[in-house]
Amino acid sequence: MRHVASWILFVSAVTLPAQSPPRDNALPQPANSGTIRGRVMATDGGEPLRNARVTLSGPSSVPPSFTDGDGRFLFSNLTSGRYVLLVRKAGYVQTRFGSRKPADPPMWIEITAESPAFSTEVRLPRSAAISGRILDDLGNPIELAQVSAERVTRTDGRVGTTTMAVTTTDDLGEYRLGGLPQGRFVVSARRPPSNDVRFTVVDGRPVAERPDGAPSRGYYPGVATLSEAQPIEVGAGEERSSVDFTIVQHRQPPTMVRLSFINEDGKPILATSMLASLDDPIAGTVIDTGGISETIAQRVDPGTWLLVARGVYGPGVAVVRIIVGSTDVSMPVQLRRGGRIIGRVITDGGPPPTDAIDIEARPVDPALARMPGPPSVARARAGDTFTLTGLIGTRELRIRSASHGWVVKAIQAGGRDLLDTPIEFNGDEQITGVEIVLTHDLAELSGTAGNSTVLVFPENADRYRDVRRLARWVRPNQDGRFLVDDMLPGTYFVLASDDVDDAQWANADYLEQFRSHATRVTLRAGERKSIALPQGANP
Amino acid sequence: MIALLLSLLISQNAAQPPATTTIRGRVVRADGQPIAGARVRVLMVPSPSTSMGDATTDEDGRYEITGTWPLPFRVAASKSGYTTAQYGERRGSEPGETITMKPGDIRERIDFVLRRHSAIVGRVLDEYGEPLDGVVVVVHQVRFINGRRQLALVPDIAARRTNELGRYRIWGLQPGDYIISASIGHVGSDDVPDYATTYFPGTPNPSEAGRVRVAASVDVLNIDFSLVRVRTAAIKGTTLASNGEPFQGGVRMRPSRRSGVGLDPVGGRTFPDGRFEFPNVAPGDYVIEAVKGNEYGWRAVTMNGEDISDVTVQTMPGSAISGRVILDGKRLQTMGRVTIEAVAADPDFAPFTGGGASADVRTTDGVFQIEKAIGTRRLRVTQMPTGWMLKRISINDTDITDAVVPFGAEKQSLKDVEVVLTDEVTEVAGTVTDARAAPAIDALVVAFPMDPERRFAGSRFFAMTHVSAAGAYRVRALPPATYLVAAIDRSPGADEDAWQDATSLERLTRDATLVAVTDGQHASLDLKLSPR
Repeated sequence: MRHVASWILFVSAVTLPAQSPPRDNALPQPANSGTIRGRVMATDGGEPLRNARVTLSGPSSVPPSFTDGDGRFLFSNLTSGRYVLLVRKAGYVQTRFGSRKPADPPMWIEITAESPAFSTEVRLPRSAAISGRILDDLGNPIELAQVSAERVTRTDGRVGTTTMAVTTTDDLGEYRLGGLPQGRFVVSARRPPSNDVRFTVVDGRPVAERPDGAPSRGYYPGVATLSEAQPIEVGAGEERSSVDFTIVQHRQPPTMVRLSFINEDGKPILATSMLASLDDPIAGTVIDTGGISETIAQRVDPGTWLLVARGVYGPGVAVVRIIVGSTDVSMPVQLRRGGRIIGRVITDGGPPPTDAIDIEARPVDPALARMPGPPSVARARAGDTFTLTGLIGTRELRIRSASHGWVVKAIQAGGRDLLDTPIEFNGDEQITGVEIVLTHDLAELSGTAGNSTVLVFPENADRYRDVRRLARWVRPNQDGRFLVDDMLPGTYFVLASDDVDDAQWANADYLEQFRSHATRVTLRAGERKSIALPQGANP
Repeated sequence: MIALLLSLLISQNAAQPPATTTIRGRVVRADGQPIAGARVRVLMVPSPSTSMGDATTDEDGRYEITGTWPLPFRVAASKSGYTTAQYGERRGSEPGETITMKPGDIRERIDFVLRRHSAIVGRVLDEYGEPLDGVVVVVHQVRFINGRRQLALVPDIAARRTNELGRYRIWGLQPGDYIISASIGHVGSDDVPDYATTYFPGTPNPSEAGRVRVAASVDVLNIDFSLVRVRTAAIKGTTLASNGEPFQGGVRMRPSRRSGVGLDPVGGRTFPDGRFEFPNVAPGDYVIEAVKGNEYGWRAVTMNGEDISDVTVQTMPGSAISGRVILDGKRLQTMGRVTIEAVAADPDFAPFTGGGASADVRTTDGVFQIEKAIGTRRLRVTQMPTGWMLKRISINDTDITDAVVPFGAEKQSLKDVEVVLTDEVTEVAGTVTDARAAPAIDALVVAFPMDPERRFAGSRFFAMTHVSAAGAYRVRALPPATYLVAAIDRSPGADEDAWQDATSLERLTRDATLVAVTDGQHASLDLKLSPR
């Protein structure tokens, strides 16, 4: 019988699954006998926090509860399984049990028939706040501007942002971003979107125009792009007020872009379309040009824009880079059929997994990835063929929702590796004979790590396009034990650390500095290794 | 709508590029100082969110808009921090003047005075006096809707959430009296254990809410209050169709309309075996509605912190009401369009979605049949030829003209209902003068019955009419009874039927004149508008 690991903690990505997948547990469990009790206190001062809201997510659906006058809470009648405990209280940082930083993976609390009761203390640090006013270039307050505080993250050389707080300004232009953990934040603001549509007639045809263009985003201290933004550092419980800034207007007025969509025969075709600013591909404006039409007329700020259009009836896609200056742009956009990937899902032996997997051709270009719209996804079982159509731009093949215990070993087509190599589609390219190889021959690494976070990453981490495929970042359970049971055979480095930067842990460069503190482990297929890690190895 | 507008635009533009039209004006504050950066927009009349042109005022508050506007339009000026105004509006919230211009026209002095709006600022705390964040704060007004005093949302004023200091600020308010509520999550959801929706200054009972008086262009500060901790409990039960079989879905709950809160219903959690559940319900009176196809059923539930687990809500198939309309006239008359409606007598026991049960009368023989009447209702004639009024509704010679009749089951169906209309229409007419004996042309005349039993929402014994430009009024078709008639000021912004509220009638009784109306009688009565 397969050993059922009941305390695997964290699965390969920074985002935490909302609920743990159901596991086939061999022993019948007495239902509803578990309890989780605890006390919520402030980190500094240590006084109990009353009326803190405690929520529990896990196999039982449990209504949230508030701590009593002594900071205590109790959940009872819980079924066995893994729970995540989340505590929030106004003025304190929202905290999950076992996370020392908000983005840290939490610890599961494991309730079993053998140990049905768990008792803990959760300590909440005081939250920081950033406040100020958002003004226009005349010095007038901007009402209902959308203001956000973001952390800048770096993964594989790509810059991204994680939103930590959002709010809107009031009629005085004032905002307050509260509940922040200590850290560095980029503050940005965007004018409220305008729904104004103006109708004009061009060549005897009606055209709906957005007279305002897209609301532009501005960053503290009054600059237009993320790279010029000046981050604000706040400590625990610190207040930074008067973070006032102006949303810079482009000096040039917005330029009109008129596009008409045509099919491969040059006939007009109905399409939906979006424009994304390439001047700031991470955080720049994305405009939904609105509705379904054969033509669009949209005012945009001068700069470089990426247009993505999709045909409404029948296939057709287009990705066009448009450089907008001060003169109006008018051009046809031809929708092409788009590229295709045809392939098969296979296993490297043994009985195939029962569940189908979702195969996604994910856009690599960050601007393209930010475009809302249906993802290119196909679903297939082992042995089945799959087809992805309508592909445009640079794409990478990724697997979503594989059954537990199955990992992608290789993706190849005619000897060409597609797992760590993106594919470029410009028109109607077709890639056939793709094989997605799933393996069940995995290794398992377990052990003790005290209260530290466990980091596992492959030797030669820089060889992989996305090292998260092989690297793992897990928290031990309440007893200090950890387990990673879905590792491809190979050579890894493993260590326990108290200071992993969640914003860049999946960077090969970042991981490199941990090598000298890590233990080198070689795992063969089917092998189970246990290791006692020294706590808190920090580079 | 848009397609029609576009085709109009095209038909008027296809031939040749038309000459443009220009409007100019100025936007100033109440003290006459110019407002720079105000947005002035040309709005299509049938589609007010569609701008056909816009401009921003300069430092002297001036603007100019040029465009091609083949359709009538209005002009609006807005600026954050100020109440939006339409050109030519008589008072806030009424639409402004409709302007039509020919190509080549220029119109000057489309001017606006914008008043600074008011705001309410405060904090929401818990029972320990510590701030609560994410609390939804809503502003209400007391309105008179469907014959009841109710709390209603204030149009165009958005709800706001408290920040982590518990602070909120609600802006954009016109002068007036407001009621503030605060709540965490939705009533009846999993997300609100133990906190009731609380009204300033700190009560879960809307009838005990304090009014916050807001003057023009001010910030009302320190409207602080604590959410009230209550014992919430679950309501569990089963929904059954009229044939006794349980069914899943179609169950909603809302506070009883008797509580005076016009809150929207919330859906419950339902199960395939017909069970339903509303968790976390605060104490109070509620009505649960089950809907299956055309079938409805209701149960009233009073919550006081204890779980209730055996509520059965069974839907009813509906009753039929059939009968005949008889014209009891001096003149020979053919049947015109007549509509009979079974009007809900109790808002708690009528479909939450509204709607009545009605039928048109067959013109050949006066026969009508209403299908699927459910709930407690009164029969009314909602449409009849001019010059006629209702005399009596009876069944087997029993008068049921204003009787409340329960409907729902098949056996509650009514047959052989006789609706008698008469062309002997009563009338009370006269003049209204103000304190200086001048015609009170802005007044309203209201008539209401002496008998309190006849004072109910939608009663045919209530009547209201406007005073003509000559200062005359005429109230027709009052059913025979003893009435109190009074002239009242048309107060701006008030609901048309607000005078029917019990406390208003009490006040009106002092200045009203007593009139007995009998069959077909014409009475003459001159009224004086009493000063307030």
